[in-house]
Amino acid sequence: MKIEGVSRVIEALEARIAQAIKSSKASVTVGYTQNYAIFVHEDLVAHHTVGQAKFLEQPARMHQDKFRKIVEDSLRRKLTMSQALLLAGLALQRESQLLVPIDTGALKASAFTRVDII
Amino acid sequence: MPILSNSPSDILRYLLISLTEGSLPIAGKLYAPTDWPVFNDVEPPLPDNCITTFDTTGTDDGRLMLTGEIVHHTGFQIRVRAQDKVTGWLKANAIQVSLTESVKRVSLTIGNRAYLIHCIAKMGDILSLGKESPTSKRNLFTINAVMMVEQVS
Repeated sequence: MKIEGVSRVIEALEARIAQAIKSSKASVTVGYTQNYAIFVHEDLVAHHTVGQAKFLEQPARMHQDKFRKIVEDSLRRKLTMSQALLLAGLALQRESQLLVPIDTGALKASAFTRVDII
Repeated sequence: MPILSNSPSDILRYLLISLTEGSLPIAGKLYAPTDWPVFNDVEPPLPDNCITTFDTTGTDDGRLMLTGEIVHHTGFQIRVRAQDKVTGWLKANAIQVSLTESVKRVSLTIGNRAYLIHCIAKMGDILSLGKESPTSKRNLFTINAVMMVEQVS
């Protein structure tokens, strides 16, 4: 028995693998652009009337499962890895902005979520 | 999740002292710049060169299949305050290297309680926070990581 077109199938599969590798290398950054953000984030001694230190790290650690589920659900809905990570990143940004100390509001307003092109 | 008689940051404080990265604070003592007393939770105004440990949020890392026990890594922050940037950076770097290379199932005794520190993981970069305040000459650095610690007696 002779099977024809195998090479085309292999080429198509290789193209899909390359696309999947490219897609899986996506990354998303969540942060704050104010230059004093790191000082406020890391200073565990300071008292804040509203908010707290570790306003980004804490929700990132506490809601790991939630973010993982957002990515899994998004991939199941056929979104790309970049889109899935972006949704998780925006969720982290929302959680973080609930904890960020507010004095003038500039720090809270400087939050961002960025898709990194690799 | 293990029950601990001392807070993780307090255990870490004694770990740093046992690794000779700092010394046990003594009330009223005038410290030399090389003493690096290690405090827990409260950073006093003096001396300039000191280390303070804090508890932070940890992470759950799965569950043991046999017992069902959740493996929890407790979070901590080490804050280094120094008379200038170079001194602070060198100390923070020395602590980072020491914790990374020397801590692998380390036994530690605090009073009559014994602890086993399995590992220190997810250590981030040394974060330079700049000057303590706009008018201060003292620099601040922090190191964040998680550790797996178990009380054995």
